[in-house]
Amino acid sequence: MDYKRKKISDGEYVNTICTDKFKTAVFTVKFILPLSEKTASYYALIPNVLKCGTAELPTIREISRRLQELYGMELFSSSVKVGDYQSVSFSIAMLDSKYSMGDGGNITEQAISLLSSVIFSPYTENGVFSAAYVEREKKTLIDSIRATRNNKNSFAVEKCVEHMFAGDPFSVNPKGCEKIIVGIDPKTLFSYYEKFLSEARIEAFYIGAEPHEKIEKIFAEKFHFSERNYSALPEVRRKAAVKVNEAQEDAAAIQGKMVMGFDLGCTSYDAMCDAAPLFMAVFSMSPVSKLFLNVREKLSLCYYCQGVPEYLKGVLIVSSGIDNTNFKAAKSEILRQLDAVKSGDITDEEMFFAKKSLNDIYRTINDSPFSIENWCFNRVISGKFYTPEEKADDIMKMDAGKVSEFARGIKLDTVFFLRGAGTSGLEEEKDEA
Amino acid sequence: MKREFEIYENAVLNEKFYSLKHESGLTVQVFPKKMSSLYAVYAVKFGSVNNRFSVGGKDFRIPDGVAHFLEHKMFEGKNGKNAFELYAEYGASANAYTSALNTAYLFSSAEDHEKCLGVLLDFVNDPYFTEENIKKEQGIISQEIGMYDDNPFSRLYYATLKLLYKNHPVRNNICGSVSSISEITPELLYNCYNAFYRPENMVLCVCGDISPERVLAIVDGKVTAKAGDAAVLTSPDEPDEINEKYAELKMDISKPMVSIAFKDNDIPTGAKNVLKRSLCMEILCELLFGKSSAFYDKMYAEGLISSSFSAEYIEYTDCGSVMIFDESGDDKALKEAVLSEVKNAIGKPFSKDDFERVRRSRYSESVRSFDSTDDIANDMMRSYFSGYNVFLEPDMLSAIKYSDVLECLSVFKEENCVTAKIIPTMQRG
Repeated sequence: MDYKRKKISDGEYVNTICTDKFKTAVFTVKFILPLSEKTASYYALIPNVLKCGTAELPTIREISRRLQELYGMELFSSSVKVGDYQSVSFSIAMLDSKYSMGDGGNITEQAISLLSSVIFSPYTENGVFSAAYVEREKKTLIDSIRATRNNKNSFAVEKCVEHMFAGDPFSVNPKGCEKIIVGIDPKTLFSYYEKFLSEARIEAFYIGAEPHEKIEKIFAEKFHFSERNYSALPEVRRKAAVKVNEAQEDAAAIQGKMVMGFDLGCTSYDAMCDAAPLFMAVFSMSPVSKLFLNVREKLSLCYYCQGVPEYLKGVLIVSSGIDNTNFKAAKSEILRQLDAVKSGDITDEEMFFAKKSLNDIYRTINDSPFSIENWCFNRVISGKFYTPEEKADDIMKMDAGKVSEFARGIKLDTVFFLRGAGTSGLEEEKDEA
Repeated sequence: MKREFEIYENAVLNEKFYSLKHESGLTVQVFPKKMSSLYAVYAVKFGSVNNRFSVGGKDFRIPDGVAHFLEHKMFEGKNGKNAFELYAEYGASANAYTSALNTAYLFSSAEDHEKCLGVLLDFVNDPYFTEENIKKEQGIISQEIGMYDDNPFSRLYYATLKLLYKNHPVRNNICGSVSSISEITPELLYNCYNAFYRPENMVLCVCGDISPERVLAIVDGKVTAKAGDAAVLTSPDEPDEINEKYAELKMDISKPMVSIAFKDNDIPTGAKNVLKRSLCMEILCELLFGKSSAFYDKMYAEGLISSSFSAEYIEYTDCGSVMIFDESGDDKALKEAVLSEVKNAIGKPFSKDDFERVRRSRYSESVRSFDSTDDIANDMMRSYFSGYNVFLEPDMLSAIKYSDVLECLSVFKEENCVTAKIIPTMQRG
């Protein structure tokens, strides 16, 4: 990985990974801020309003036409939770200039320039965002918050996190909160936008064929922040489990969803956490893991049962789709499997499979610009720099004792059950044919 | 039988692949690419639509969901080991999927590529079905069906297809239904397996850092011609008319969802023409309704469509339709706006510059799909079964003309139009 990290100013960095492996080049700018109920809604709304128009291209239509002219360059944004931070990203994916139909010129420079005007030169009326755009994007954002309900799995996960982290920044929805969004006006939003530009930690990533220096130069030219008021981000704080909380709700759905929230006992800042990926591979991440083989395959207690860790916060969420009647059985089987790992009940074969599978994952990260970006971002945010190959070598040296030791720090904190109706209420859709 | 690979090259992409018809009848395609991951797909032309066929003169009408059921069962071996465990030995990750047209078995590996290829060919060539393991699978698949039934997008999609098509089996859920899969027996699975899982009805597509000769050496030791009769497909007898105009269902969702679809009755014959039609339709949908269109600009500004609005062309070789999706309550107003936009475009079409811009953008998307071994192997498989090679798409996008796209406007007819809707079960404040 030909990786270079350059500091532009305090809290402002450009990370470049130069490779001619891809026909796609990716450029992303991330604004990272402390996650709080008070500001999350504003910061979530900002990218959506910015994408509505720039001073030169004042409508979505004109921006879209420009994107198409630049060989179908894609522009997307997101607002996600990373530990106790809100990370607001603006990304572009573009065709490498040498594959254009002949008249492409330098797509990279034009594309980054367009992204810069989206971020820095918004379409304004009377010095603030357009009232019409703000109203429209408020409605769209509220719709997307409400739409979580449409996917019962992510809905249940969100509920579990709310219960588990009540009063903690990690419970805040990075999409915002409907009650706050309703009251946002263009003027206040604009002042939050200025705060956003001024206070965020900024991390830019480029993965493509252009040399480091060229991208650093383009970034320095196109991304002109005025005087910034940056202070270093506070460290993410783990929430230690004290006792097990249980909560449940009924849903008008066929299947029940059971979500279990665990405290990992350490975070990515801690050396102990280095064994976490190996634990995950043994416990739940592959089709030969304990959860898949036992809870799903052997006992048929669920259709899916998967664990998703957040190492920065030190939390593991295990979610499963189950029949209501299997709630107790599935829960105790998941805990039984965790206890097995804790007590060292890990076979040589399981260790071998887990290591092989992680090795495969790490060795293929360099095959996609998006997975490279994601890898680098995780390194930057945890402050631990190593290549996927180095991590793979490190994992290969660990033994089962290390996995058990890590597992013994894990405690169940919350169980959330979204109880299904059990029957579909659907008429059997039979064909007359 | 010749043993030489045919070479297909594309100078613009700077890529090439090798193709060979093996003496067993299996087509082997290898796309060498300097990547850490190797991706292989071993696929059979047997999908959820193939529910009527004859074998040796005997007619079959099989229950819905058999292709998908077979896919699940293939992972189980005689010795109780499933294929996942065999791959785990090499660290590879494996999966499979069933679509309307195909069933595909795949893996991605960073090491031991040849051994993984051996596992892939071995387990797909060695079925093992018993009363007991089928009964267990019925339970697992019923849960999967339950999961899809809770998914509003899946429900709306099938509701739309059921309105569009009277007989075409694309209207049936890929997994089948709880009752249709309850009819499945070991004998039925073996009959379908023997009729479809035959080298001449399959393809092996490999993309990664490997030579065609190395792949061929594995195939030589594992794949032989199969005796017995192959399935002869019965073409669905689908009239031009739509089935029904309107359907409505209720679910626990946040906002109404609507799908407005137009049945395409002008699908040409010949694989290349079908691809051309499909690409022209995609370009047309973007020109009329995409984010760069006057329609989207006006409708979104006035709050008449939501940010989830989309318009796309869905094609399954012998049937196709334009599907327009939105999360909004007023399906009638939306349909009226769509039809009026089409009328405008017929009177005063988009400019050649607009067309050129959208075509170029779609071309770039096609070129960029040659970045991942996963996309390439899957695209090779689909292209092969459709009857062309994987480079045809970018080549055709360079050649499509303005007039080709204008011709497609005739798909938007009131009599071909259906509306499906999901209404939230309760109003939320």
